[in-house]
Amino acid sequence: MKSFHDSQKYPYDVIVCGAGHAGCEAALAASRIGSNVLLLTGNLDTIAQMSCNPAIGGQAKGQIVREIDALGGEMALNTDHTAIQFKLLNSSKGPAVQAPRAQCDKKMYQQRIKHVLEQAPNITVFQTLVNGLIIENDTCIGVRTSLELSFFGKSVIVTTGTFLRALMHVGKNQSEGGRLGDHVSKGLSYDFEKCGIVLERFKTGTPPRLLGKSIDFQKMKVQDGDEHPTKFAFYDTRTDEETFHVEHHGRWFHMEHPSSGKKTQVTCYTTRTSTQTSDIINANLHLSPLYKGDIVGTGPRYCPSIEDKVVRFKDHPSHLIHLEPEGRNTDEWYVNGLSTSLPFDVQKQVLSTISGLENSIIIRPAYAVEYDYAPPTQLDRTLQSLHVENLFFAGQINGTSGYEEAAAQGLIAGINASNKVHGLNAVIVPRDHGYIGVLIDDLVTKGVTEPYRMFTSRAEFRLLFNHGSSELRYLPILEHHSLVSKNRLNLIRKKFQNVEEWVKKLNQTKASGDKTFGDLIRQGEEPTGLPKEFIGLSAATQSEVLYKVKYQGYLKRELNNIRKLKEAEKIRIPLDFSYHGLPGLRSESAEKLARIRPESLAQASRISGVNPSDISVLMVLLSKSQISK
Amino acid sequence: MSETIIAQATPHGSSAIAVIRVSGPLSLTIAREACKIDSPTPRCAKLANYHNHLNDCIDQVIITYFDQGRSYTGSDTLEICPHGNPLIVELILKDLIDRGCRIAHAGEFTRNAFFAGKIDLTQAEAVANIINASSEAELKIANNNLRGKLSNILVKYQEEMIDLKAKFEAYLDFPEDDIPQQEKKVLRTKIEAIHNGITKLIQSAKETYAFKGRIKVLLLGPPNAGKSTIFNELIGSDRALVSDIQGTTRDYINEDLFLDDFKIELIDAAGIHSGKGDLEKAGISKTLGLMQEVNLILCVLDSSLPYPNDFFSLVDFENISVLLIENKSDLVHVLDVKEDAYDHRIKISATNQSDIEELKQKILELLKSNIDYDPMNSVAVESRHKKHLSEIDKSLMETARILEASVDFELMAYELETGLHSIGEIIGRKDNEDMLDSLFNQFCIGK
Repeated sequence: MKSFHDSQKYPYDVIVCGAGHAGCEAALAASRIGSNVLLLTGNLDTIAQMSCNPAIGGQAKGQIVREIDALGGEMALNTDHTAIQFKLLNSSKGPAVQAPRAQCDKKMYQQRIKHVLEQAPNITVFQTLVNGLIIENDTCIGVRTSLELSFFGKSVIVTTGTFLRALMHVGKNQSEGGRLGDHVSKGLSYDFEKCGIVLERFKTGTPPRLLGKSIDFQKMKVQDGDEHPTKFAFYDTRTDEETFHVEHHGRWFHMEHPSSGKKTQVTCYTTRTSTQTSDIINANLHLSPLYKGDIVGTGPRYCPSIEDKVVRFKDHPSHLIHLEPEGRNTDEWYVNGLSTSLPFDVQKQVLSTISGLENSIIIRPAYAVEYDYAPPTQLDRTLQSLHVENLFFAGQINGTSGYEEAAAQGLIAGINASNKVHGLNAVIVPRDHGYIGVLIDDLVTKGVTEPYRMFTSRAEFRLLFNHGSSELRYLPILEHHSLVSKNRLNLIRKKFQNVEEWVKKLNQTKASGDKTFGDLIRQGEEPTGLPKEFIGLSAATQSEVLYKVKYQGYLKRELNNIRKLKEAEKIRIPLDFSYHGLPGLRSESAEKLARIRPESLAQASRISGVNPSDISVLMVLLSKSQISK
Repeated sequence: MSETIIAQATPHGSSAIAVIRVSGPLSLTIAREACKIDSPTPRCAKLANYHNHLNDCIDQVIITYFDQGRSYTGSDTLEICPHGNPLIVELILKDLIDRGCRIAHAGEFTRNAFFAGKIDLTQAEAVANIINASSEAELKIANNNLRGKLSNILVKYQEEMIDLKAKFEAYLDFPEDDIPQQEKKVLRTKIEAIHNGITKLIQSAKETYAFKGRIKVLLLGPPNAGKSTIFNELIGSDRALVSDIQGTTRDYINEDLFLDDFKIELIDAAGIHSGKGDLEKAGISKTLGLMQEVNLILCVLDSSLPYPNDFFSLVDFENISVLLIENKSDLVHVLDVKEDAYDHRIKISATNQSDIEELKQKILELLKSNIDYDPMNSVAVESRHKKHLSEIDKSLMETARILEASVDFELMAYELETGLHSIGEIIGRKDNEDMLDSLFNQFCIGK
């Protein structure tokens, strides 16, 4: 059922609204499970567009991409195949905080994923604007679109990014649209509000793009890629079982990608703002919609505009600026660190004060965008709406920021919408599995106060989340849901066994005198004479073993903490549990609990403002309600 | 569940009786060894004497044993009801810890009860109400200055640790940003400052152990040396000792004494002599135990009598600050104590008002020189807090160790987080958002 059909009679299994990073993963995940998917986008040419910087990964995000790969997602492979520079961040620090990052060819990235979607056997991609939901008995059964076409589906995933009631600002100039040159979506916002879904406003911004030939790179510091790239995907391509994959269609898609060495990779640069930059910004603050109060939405603290940085850190004489190429076949450059909503002529003046950018030519101006998001505490942990059945939300509409965070949610929403339609169990990622678990639990439990970006510090079990262990951590989920091919599952099982076995062996085998290899490794010594069979293992397996041996003490403590968490996870709270009028529960806590509807006592204890005595009371009351049932 | 957990089930503070709940496999052992009741009848109250592990009697108590399966928590449980004196409760709790129990986390009894499926409909209702009531009581305690002081100090350390953690996290999470290099020395100084503060708190917990921040002075001596008279004169009231202890088994009394800024707990112990009766022996052994806990001992001797050999054969003043009071100076002096045996001594007649004033000055002088008395640090540190304070301290020392050895920021952050968790157990947890607030305030992030 690839082509259009009477969807009222034969509804799609899953309709995905929006083909950004969340929408693409959602559609692909659903299709891998065997769902019949309709993917709607306002513009086919901006599928998987990197609206901001042309890079995937980075701290915490790189780990997320590897986890997406572990769950069968596309982002890692797409990045590896379209990357033009690889860099492992924190390479001098411990493995738990090392993170892969890659500059990508923006257009190639889009083209490849578009091609993957086109080749997928059960995805229909269609260009139209979604402007409303079709809802019956609090259940979503389809969408209305701008062509007055309606599509019916058993589930609907909303991945509309920043496009809801989007308003862009450049100085005092305002225009509607979710991205420069793109449209705005209004109808959906009204429909959400009709269903009781609360919407709030966030803002974000992007820097100007410059013409490369107008930049004096001689004045800048060179930032090269790594000699040995750290790839995101655990396997270079899909196995034969996954026949739809584009790399098997050589004639359709070809991309020169750097396999190793610096030479095949592009170069990035850094420069700094000057005191004159700060002077110009300070002199023109009154023109910034941020400071005039024209923008009401909350912006991210970790990605402030240049005017924010200058105002908040007055004593910093200069700020770091990164220049990143947008692709191999374009001379467009991204000015990382110079996000602003100042008027265009002030943007030009600002650039003229930065070393190397004195004569640079802007080819796309910087702008800020304000948009509606739906506070994610209105979702359950499968990312389904608490208000409307079979309606799922993923990506920036949930108040997050970043391609990787969006893709991870899309993947989980896609799997869960699909599983629900097919009567399969939902995939709920526990916090101890990885960053995806932390991300979704944080969103639905704590909510957001600024666009949510993942930081490694958000993960209480960070030391277990080294990027190389992603596929091992997700093995329990892979065992229970068919998300990857049989062959791949077997490879992961084998790797898991090898790691367990060799951690034990290295801890038992004497290396010299009384000391085992484990002892030596923990003392920070370079172990010599490691068993031949160990040296014969893959590099990934070896480094995983060495990590587990070296950090054994810490990892054991982490596992101990996880056990404690599991005890409290075991105490489930029925979704229809009524918190109001319960003796002993503070009304403030009751109100929060009723709104967020935690699924377990552990989740309840993470809600801010719910204190330990509330949890004790809840525990007692829960047992009472279970007895009376 | 293999651990035995304990907690005071009644609110802190003075009351007629207190209830200490013990739950876990050690319950029977404690009934047998501490209370000398070999096979307690389940759910039947028994009168007993509670002995610490040195076999000194601490107090007369009522114990009730609940056998596994019919107890609240589902494990063997022992309820010990001593007299509601905070000192006694603390001494018993301390002894229970020495015997291998640990202080329960908040709500742990109820949690265990829940896990064991032991809570039924009516009990659940009752427990919810009890929890509610006890949290109100806790609120009151939090509002009193003693508890408030501890949390004020800890809030400060919590903030400092969060700021420190934010420095580490900035390096970890923003490797491409413009973060100035932190000097090892600066970090070390910061860690040490917090470490010293926490150590001081633990120290003060030791000094003011069980006295909720007060200083203890013990009146000690052979019978009839005039201790009670001095006690009454010092506190300035004719407190009739005998009638006060009627109906109780306490063999000492205590009263607040205010001298300058000091709030002193003045304790009048039973006269020390090689007594005959069991009860007297028990009282004396308790008094001897008390000697280890006090800041100053006022050793009262009757100067009209010869050197009390019996008394001195029973007490040992080593490492204890002692003021020798030669009382009854209005009578003929007979007592012969070697000139250099005591650094501090005073001759008084307890009925002479100016002598009492002189004694007060002497006590003050000694306290000021003996005790590192910093009002900021004399806080109420209970056993539960002490455990967490030690954990905080451990995590700080570990952080400092890693800093010296390797500068593994993620491991230092991990240790600090462990410490922050322990602080949170005392004064309430801060979440990662607070750390991020500090991070974004300290560093200009925004690649």
